[in-house]
Amino acid sequence: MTEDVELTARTISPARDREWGEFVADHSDATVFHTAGWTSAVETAFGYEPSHVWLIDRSGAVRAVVPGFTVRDGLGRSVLNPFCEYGFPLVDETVADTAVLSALCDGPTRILKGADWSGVSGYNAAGYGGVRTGSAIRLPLDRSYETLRESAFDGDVRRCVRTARDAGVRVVDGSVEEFYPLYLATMRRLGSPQFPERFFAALVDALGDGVAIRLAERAGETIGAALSFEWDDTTTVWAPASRRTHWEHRPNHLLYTDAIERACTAGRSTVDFGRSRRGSSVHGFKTQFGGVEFPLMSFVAPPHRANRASLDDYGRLAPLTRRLSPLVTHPTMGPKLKEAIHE
Amino acid sequence: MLVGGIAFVATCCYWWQRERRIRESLIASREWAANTAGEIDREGLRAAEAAAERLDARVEDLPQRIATLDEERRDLRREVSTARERWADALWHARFSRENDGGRSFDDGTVRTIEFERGELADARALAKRASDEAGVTLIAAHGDGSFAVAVGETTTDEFSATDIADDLADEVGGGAGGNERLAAGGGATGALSEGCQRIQDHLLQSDTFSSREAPASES
Repeated sequence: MTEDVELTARTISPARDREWGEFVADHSDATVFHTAGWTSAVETAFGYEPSHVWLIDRSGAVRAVVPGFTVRDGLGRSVLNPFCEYGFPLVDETVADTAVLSALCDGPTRILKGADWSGVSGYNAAGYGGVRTGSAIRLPLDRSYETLRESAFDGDVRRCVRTARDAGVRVVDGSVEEFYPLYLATMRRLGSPQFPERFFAALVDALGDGVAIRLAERAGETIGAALSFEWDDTTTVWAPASRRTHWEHRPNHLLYTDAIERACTAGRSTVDFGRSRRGSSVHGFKTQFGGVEFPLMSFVAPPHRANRASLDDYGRLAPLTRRLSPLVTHPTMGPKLKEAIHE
Repeated sequence: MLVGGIAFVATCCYWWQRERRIRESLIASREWAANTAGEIDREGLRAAEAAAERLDARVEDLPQRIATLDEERRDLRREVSTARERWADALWHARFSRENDGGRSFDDGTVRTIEFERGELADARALAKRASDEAGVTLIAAHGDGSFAVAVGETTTDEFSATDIADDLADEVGGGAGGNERLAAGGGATGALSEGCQRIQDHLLQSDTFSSREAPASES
């Protein structure tokens, strides 16, 4: 049951205001991308102007929180949670979502990254336009790992994991310094601007054990890696990387099953494989693990600026950026492009 | 003039694009609200996930898993039904067959009462079904759940109706009853079932049909 309350939006600092952390920790739909650790790492690495908002009622009680940074968007400015799939508001269950969304409409263009599992609704009623941005595949860990492996995974996954193990691939803990060269090589292969290394370091500093870096090694060489967030009851596989020359040894399959097994062992309820586009090879890879697909949509107010949330242009530019890979992933140029793209 | 024309076309293009963007994005958010973000959908998904967990299956495999379970359930019901028929037949033979007492028949084709201390409605119905193949009237009391059944042999249906007898018994002991001329069952007895059956049996024996015959059989 929701109530109509008058809400006031206030810009605050998640890192300094204890109530932010308490609200996020208590909210069942919160993600690592709502935490003070995430916002702190983004601010440290990119220097965006923080525009995190909480909404309080007349008594001063926090009823909703929304992470966000003000970023340049062409000739204008937008407020959004960059580099992630989930930038939706966390709303107290007693408050109407529409009241919160309407209170956020004032000011510069607001982009809220929604997922239909989040429980937030009422974007259309509050005047937000929507832009589809792909889908997230989430695997519910409702069974033991062994049962999941037998009942949820495709047969190909089991075969590929056997191939990896037979080839002597093993998964070990790693550091940012070990992870980053492989990540950079992957970005170069894809022709996609890279995060600066300091961003990963900032994430580890801010989130501590909430960041898991796992390396797939074979004969002393790192042939695959994955940076995952292990936060609350969800593991989010966020930055996978691998060497194409070693794909025959299936390091990615081993890394993903490793992330799932760790999540099961830790008693988490979900593994989130992140965003992908239906029909892409990445999407096909992720579906092999048997998760549930959730559509993703970015909501924009005012709606005539909906194009700012669209990711279609990046997809269209991909063939070109692959050709220009040395330029777009140059150590100086790449992080600056990433900062400008904020996706 | 040319500059003015270009400016006019550019302005038109801008507003056309803007209007299109608004329309498309609002349609998208409306569809989202209608199709994917609704509480009903989330509740449905949670329910499906809970069901999948219970059945140790993936959500997408639920229809096949449920179909398989339903088929197994039907097979088991058929097996139980067959087993009950065999049990009822064996029980009837054990109690009323001539061969079991050196040629003396327990069955006199009149009115019988059979009681089960722990029996239930399904047992009473199975035995009543078997009893309906025999002459006379059979009253069956299942004390396990307070249910009862009545069977009337084919040769006796001109005089008695199983439904009427079961209704009379329900009037005596409480609860309700239903069935047809040959076979009826009831449940929900709140009174003493044994005494109720005895009163109905006595009443039937006083009828013209049975009053000239020998003493009835009573088993428990």
